[in-house]
Amino acid sequence: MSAAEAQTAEYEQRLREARLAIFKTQENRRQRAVQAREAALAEARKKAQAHIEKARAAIEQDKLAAQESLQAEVGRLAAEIVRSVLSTAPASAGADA
Amino acid sequence: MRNWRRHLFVLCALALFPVSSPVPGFTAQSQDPPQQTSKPHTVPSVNAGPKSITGQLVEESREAAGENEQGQFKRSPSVVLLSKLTGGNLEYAYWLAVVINFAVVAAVIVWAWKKNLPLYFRTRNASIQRAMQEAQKSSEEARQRLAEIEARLSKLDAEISGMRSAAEKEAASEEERIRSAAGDDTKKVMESAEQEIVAAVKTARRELKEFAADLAVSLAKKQIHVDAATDQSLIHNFAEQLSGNGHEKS
Repeated sequence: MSAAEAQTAEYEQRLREARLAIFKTQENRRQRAVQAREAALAEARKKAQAHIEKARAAIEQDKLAAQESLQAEVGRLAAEIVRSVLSTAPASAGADA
Repeated sequence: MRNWRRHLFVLCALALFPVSSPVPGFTAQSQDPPQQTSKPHTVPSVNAGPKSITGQLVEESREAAGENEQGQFKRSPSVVLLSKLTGGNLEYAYWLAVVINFAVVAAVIVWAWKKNLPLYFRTRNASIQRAMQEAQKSSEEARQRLAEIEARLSKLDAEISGMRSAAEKEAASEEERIRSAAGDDTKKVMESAEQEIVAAVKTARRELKEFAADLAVSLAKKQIHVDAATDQSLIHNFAEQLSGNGHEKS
């Protein structure tokens, strides 16, 4: 009876140790995977931020270029506005340009 | 044969009588008569001399001190009767009574043993057999348990390797799931960045339109000159347009 109890205790001890080792290994792998995911996500955020800043700079530059080109078009637009406003008015009214 | 049995029964009864009833009355009665009647050798004689008188005195002193209790039984009526029946002397009858007493007690003990001992031994035998069977059963159970544990121990390595492979599969599956989730999160971050860039482009376009409109209107304001007649004409034309629209609708 004591031999059976000793064998049972040994079996349970070895099984418990094996389960503990497996759990530790699994936990380590899970931790590594989570850390890899966090690193990938941080890298993606960093890339996205750089992309956005680059795009914002390009947009700002395009905007400035567009404003400069609009300066030349503004005279024509103003004449168009004046003509459309005064199209129905008598001939006494006039524009400076 | 019957007479012999009857005599034996009477002898037993007579032999048992002094043992079972050592009544003081008997002793009191039996103290005097033997000295007078049935014990001629104890009667002091002239020829006995001072030695027999001394012995008698010693005996009497012993009886007085209660040391010689056998003397009471020796002179009991049953022993006297037994001596008369057997034809022997009192000493012989006394020892015969003792032997018969012993035989009767021994017979009772043997009878009681014969009556109770087989049952006792049967019970004892049964309990011993039961204990042996229980011990054998416990031993068998322990042996089976030991064999079972040894079998499980022999399969323990395989069981542990199975657990490890299952854990390996589970860990790989979880890693794949985490990797997939990381890919999804990265994709979402990039999509969010694209949406932010598109919104910035829309905002820039709207600001450009507003800028162009404000600039053109302010330049037109500077260029246009409206006098009172032109103002009246504009109002008149506007009113006519409104009324014309009203007539068309009606």
